[in-house]
Amino acid sequence: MNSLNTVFSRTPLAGCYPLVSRAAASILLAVFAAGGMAHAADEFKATPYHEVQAGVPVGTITKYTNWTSTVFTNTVRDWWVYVPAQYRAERPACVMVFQDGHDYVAPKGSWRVPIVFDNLIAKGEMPVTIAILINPGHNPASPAPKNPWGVSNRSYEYDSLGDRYARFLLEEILPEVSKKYSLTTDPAGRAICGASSGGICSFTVGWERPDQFRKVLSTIGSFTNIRGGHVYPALIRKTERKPLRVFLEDSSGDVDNQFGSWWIANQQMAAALKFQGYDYKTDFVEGYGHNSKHGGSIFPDALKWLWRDYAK
Amino acid sequence: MKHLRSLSVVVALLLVSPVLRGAEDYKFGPDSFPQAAVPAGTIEKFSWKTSTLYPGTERDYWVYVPKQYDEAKPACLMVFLDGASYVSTNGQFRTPTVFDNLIHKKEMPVTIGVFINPGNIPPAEPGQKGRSNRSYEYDSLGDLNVRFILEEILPVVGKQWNLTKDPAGRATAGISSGGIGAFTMAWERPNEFGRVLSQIGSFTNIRGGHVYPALIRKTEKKAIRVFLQEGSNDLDNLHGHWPLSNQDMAAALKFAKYEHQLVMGDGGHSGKHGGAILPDSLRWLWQGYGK
Amino acid sequence: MKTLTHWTLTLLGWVGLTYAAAAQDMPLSMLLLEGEGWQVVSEGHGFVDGPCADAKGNFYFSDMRKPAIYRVAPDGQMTTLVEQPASGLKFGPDGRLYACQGSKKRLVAFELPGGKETVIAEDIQPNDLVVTLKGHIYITETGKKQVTFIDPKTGAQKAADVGITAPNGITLSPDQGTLAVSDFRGQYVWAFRIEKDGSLSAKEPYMTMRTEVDVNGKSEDGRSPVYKPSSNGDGMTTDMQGRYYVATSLGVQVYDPTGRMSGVLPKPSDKAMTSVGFAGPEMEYLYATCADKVFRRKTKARGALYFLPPPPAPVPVKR
Repeated sequence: MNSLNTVFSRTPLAGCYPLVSRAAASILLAVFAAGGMAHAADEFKATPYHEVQAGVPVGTITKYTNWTSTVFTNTVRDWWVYVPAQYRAERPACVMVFQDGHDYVAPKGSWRVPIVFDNLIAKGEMPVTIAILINPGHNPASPAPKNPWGVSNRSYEYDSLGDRYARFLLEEILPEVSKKYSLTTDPAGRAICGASSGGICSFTVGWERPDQFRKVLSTIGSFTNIRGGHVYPALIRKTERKPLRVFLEDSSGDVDNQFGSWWIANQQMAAALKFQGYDYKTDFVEGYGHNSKHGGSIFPDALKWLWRDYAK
Repeated sequence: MKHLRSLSVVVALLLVSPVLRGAEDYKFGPDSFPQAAVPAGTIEKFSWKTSTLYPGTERDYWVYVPKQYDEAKPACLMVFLDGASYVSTNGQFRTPTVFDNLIHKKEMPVTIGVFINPGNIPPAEPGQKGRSNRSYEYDSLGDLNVRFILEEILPVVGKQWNLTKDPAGRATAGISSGGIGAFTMAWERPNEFGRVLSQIGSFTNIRGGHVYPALIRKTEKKAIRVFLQEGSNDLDNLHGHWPLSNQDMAAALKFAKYEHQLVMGDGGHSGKHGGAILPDSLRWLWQGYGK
Repeated sequence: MKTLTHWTLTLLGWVGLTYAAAAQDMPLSMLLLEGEGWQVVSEGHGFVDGPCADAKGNFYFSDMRKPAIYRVAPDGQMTTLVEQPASGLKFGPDGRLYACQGSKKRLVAFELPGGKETVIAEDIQPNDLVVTLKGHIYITETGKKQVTFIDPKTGAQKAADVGITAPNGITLSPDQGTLAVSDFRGQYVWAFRIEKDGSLSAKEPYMTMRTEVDVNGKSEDGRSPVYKPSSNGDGMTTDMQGRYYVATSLGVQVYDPTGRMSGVLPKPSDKAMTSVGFAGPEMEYLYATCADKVFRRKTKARGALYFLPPPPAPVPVKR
């Protein structure tokens, strides 16, 4: 684990807590191999839900570029809207917001949201849901980041406690999407998802605005002290239960650094949700690391659980 | 009547609480029994009813002085919170007996034990309850409790006995809220206390103590050696999850490169495991002192 | 072992065992009923405050702006009692309704029904109050940073405590041995022992209130969250199990008798919550006054009434 820490603290992007930069990932693999810790099983496993299936209707993806935010002043960002083929204007669609949108929209990555959504919606395993996939902001004055994980405003937007990010969604993004599409206002029909700092960000949105978002999917969530997020288990135990449904994924190989132990922090989150009687589920596994290989593999299952009882 | 009531509380607790969950077949070793030819120290009882830092509180405390104490040489010091349970010679800890044995075998230095009870604010009128000050003193973060001990209790003890000023020769100990209380004393005054023994420590959100792992990771390392005893069947309640929080503490101490040890048993929220391994815990805690 | 006998030290071991039992844990599940949330009792007001109850469990509150003092019967029937403001209301053991009227710099008592008014004390600025079984009155004078003791017979005033930044809410333990005062501009609820003569001693910041994250705050390291220094700790109440309740900007914060937080019930409205109080046939409803609305929710708790003698034995808490 120490070598892993070193990898992270030496990464130039460590300040904004990247998921894993390509360079870091290769070092990481080298570390695992050298340390004899590599598990052949610790790989992304695509399921049929991750693959384009013949006969399944394909949704559309629209990209919004250089969005200028007023809630997060002095930032620009790109984002995408996925609309399933089954969408009909007369029937408000469910909503699912993804942080670090670039990773989730990619057709070849660990998530492949458009393909997974196409498949799940076609099979009636999740409702007709519009996905909003948003990148974190960056300062327009500084050069465009080479690595999408390294944008300047990511940690501030995702790791901070409080309702600012929720306001960004509710005051800017959802109204913009609503101009073109009919979105449900039922909070149980609105979900939010992210990995790492995007994970705690998603939980924070649900925690602050359970009247707006009631489904949270976090993988390798940073419930650690990057910006004070380590207090959530304590808050959950001593706050009246909120009407949230929460899915948490993590692995024992996740990082342990100056901000905390991700593995223990996620167990603390799960224990607190259990104590307070939340509707929650975990997928905690041995191995892996601070990446989306396992989270991506179980993503279709997590979505099925999250939407299990929602009118399809 | 008062005694009967507290005894019935104990019995009720034993019947209903998770104290008896888990195997917990921990047994005392020979170091927890008086041994022939091992000289026994002395114990004196005191009370303190004039606190300025905890106004209105009253409490007892005890001072154990080993037979080997020589007033010409400063003795090491170990402060125990919840003093009554630790100073008993027939309870779960039997600290005076364990000290007798370990000091005799030179497995820990000549150490004066100061066993302090938490304060209670007695009621002004009959029929009213006193105010328990234990959680306020032990679970609160900050330096108030260590100041109380440094500014009110130890000066009195120091008049009668010669205590070392070397923080490496001064330890704190406690169980449950006393465990986090003992850690807080050293965290706030590492220049006064360099060793901490915590048993089933409440590093949870009783009064904000869940933040210690985060603080430890982001604060310059302090010269504190920490022994943590915990049980996998310990509490999981509104304040937090004791086993996970002690693991979180150990992980943070490891990350920040503290001298530390976590001994994880299968006990619940009781002193049984901690009491049984008290001799080993003290041996580890005092390892290397004066060498 | 020269000083103490083995027997004494054995007994100590048993007494010491009670450390775990000394304080009963009181999670929110011991207070809240599944499926029972906040419900609107009354709305369309100017600025409501002063929740309290009589022996029958009727609920009383005031609208500072109207101004008026109302009674709400358990069946919801609302009656206007007096057309006067009151930032704090409590019944005394004499059956009169005591009212804080800071704008008029006085404390008054109303006889009900009829509303005959008696001025109890003048040249004061009471924010909130409690009246004990002995008829002693403690008021918070927020601007003066003072808790003031008032002898109802003579109207004599005495500073019982000075120094809390903004003393606001005030309540008693069920046995009336402890007085608790919330600091609106700080993060503590302070506890005092009430001496026989009514004076206060053994002052401690016994309960720590949670405060809101200041999303605009800048911390030294640029990363740590900044929490607001003020809890907006306002009106308080107590239940028969000894729990303390305080209205704050985050909602109702609940503490056990040893000062440890049980939990927070988020506010039912975005607007300021001024106070909390129990009422209802069994004192089982927790009421909250929030700007223009009054809310209540059914609980497992039973509110304490200070004009009644405290129960002889501790009330067992339902799990």
